[in-house]
Amino acid sequence: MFIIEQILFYLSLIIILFLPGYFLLLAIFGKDVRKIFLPLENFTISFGLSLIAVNFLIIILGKTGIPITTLSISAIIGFFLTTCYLFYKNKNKKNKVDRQESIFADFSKKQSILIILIIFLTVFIKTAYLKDAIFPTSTDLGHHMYWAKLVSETGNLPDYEKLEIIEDEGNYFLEKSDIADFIIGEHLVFSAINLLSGADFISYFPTLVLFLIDIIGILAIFILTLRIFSRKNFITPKSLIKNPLNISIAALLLMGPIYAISSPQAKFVSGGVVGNIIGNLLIPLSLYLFFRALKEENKNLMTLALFASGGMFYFHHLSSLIFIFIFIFIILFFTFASLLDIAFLRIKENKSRFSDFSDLMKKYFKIAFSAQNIVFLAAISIFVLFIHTPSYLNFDATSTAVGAPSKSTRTGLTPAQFKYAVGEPRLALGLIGIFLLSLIALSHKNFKKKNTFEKILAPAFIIGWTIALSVMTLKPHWLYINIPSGRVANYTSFPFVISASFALVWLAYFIKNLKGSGYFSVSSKIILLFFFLMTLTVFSSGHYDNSQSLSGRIDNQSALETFHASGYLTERIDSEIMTIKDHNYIKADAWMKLSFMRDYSYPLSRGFFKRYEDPTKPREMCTLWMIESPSSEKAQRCYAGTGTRFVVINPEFDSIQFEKNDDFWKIYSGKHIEIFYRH
Amino acid sequence: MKNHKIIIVSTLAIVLTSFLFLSIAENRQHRIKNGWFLYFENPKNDSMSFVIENYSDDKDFSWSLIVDGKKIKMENIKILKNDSKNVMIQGLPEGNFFEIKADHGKEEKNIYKKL
Repeated sequence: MFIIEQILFYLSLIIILFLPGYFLLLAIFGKDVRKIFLPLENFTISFGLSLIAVNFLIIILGKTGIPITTLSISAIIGFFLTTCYLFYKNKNKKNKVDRQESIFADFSKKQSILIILIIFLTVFIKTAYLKDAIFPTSTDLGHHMYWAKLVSETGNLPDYEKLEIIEDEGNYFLEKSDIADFIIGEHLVFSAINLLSGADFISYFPTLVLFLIDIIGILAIFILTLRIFSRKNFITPKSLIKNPLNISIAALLLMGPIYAISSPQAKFVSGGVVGNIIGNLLIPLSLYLFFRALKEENKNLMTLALFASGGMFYFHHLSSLIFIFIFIFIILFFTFASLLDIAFLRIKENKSRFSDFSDLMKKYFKIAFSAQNIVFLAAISIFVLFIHTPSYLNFDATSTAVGAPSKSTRTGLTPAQFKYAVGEPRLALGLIGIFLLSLIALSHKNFKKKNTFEKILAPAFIIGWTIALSVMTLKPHWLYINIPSGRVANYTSFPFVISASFALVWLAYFIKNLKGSGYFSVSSKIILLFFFLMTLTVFSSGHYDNSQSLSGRIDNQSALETFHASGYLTERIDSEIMTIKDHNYIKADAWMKLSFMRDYSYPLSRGFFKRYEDPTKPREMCTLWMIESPSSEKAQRCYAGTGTRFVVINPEFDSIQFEKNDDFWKIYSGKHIEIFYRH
Repeated sequence: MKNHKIIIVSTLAIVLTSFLFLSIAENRQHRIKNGWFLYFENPKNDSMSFVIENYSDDKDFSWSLIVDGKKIKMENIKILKNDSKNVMIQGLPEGNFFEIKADHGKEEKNIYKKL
């Protein structure tokens, strides 16, 4: 049974998370796909595009009124694959590309072994951590899986709403209200995998899907670095960096095994931070596609870039907002560096290169707004306006994300906090990398050649990306944004990893070139030793972080008790009865709602105590009173108004107040869970 | 491009091995170890019938019915691991506080109804 379940799970992953994207690439590029993309790129991009394509397909399915079932999902994916294949068959070879293109990244045997070893180490460390964290207990993942299960059970797209406790002149009652926090893309892929494979939501499958997205996200950084620093796209002289492929391998090293567990890596996987993990894949993937579309003046790549970045808005609002800022800062830095050079050449050499710059901008504009891309943008607009508007655009989410910081957690991180968020050695090396990249981008020597404005594009992508995230994290009020700075900080490691890998490889070549050059009186052996010590610091710092997270062994027996108690109640409650549980002392309590499937807020939950004291966000107090002081008059009114009869608590902390009250019967007793019934 | 394909195949093999390992690890964690539960079969009415579920190696349990602090009935039962026993209580005496106490090794649990 387990073997069949496994086979179905992996088959569903291929059907949902690989084939749609691969066939889409075939439809767009025809046979040229193998010339345009390296096999590794093809693999990574297919995965990202599949996520987006399947999300859109299921939304269309839901909006047409066809029930979302195993059959309908299979049929619509089958239809999509067939359509793409027909396009592929009829495709004229319009997009001729240089055959040499694919040869630029032919890794040597040694490099290939190194890449495989780094990937092995990355997966190994994450697996070691997830071994104890794969059991479904995390609150966020429990919340997300409720919606995914709702889609699977009802066959409809979910209405994001929940029961809320409302107070009216001292009386309490339950009322449905909309939720703006959830985005449909965070759930549909999980529903599809569940429907196709039959894998249970309370199992390994949600975490493994997130783990897979996380690994592909690392590969996305790898292929982006590969392209940005390719000899064709970047202006570093051969004497400085002999083999630019090593930069992408360094990026893989700094992104993979180093800090493999800390946020936003394996901890986000086990924590079920779905939107963020998908954003961490789609942001570098979109940047990769935009970069190549502009560098290679390829309209089809631009269409894919628009598809990837547009699709991101259906997965995660924070990632999308961050992407917009990254994009703006890339444009700003590119324009600034270009204009600076134009001004420099005008003053020093009395030459005007403004027309070259203006021609380039016109060219970029034409690629972005080609006929096919205008049609595509129109289709996206119709989809957003008339088919499915992301839930956060319907509510106040946009207004709460923009404006002066409303909480201390939104006023920006301190430099010390920022240092820990990025990782100390990655930040230090990254700053050196940014300095070097800025020198390269702003050096006027590069602009004497023709078409050299295009050469600024590569450093502009990294520098713009870094500046955008640094400002958003450290000084959010400069950009008039009001989002938790700690959450933005999770995105900052990515551009720093790329610039740090550039610095690391540059330093390595620099030291190698010192031998016999006579630049310094210090022996090259001492400098070499210094370099190795620095590299050791980078590794030990990252692995120290990993070891801290690996030290604790988690016991899931209390979570199993929670599932047992949920099963007991599910068989015994009727539609009129409400249940309340405690979130502070019960493990995996967020997963209880998956047993009941009655409402997102079923059972009601006593949240973290600090939430009831938050002056910036006053909230209902019933859930606190009903468990903390069930005999009080306020709690009695809450019980009566909400129709709550069952109370699920941890006896170690909350049993006494119920035992003293004659209104409650103790009806269920486990080691970590007791259930009381208000008769 | 041969090396690219080797990298992809190796990556897939590494990921597949990891996933298999994690799936098995997670599957094993779904077993309740060394625990037991005591609960009323019907929590909402005045029935005192109850169930003991055993997930421990020790199969010896004892239970007692206590009414208003007075022990009315006591019994020893054996419940195998991963099994449960439904105990029917009929003909209740007069009283207000009906309690079921169960002992298992050094551990004791109770459930009650206040009629």
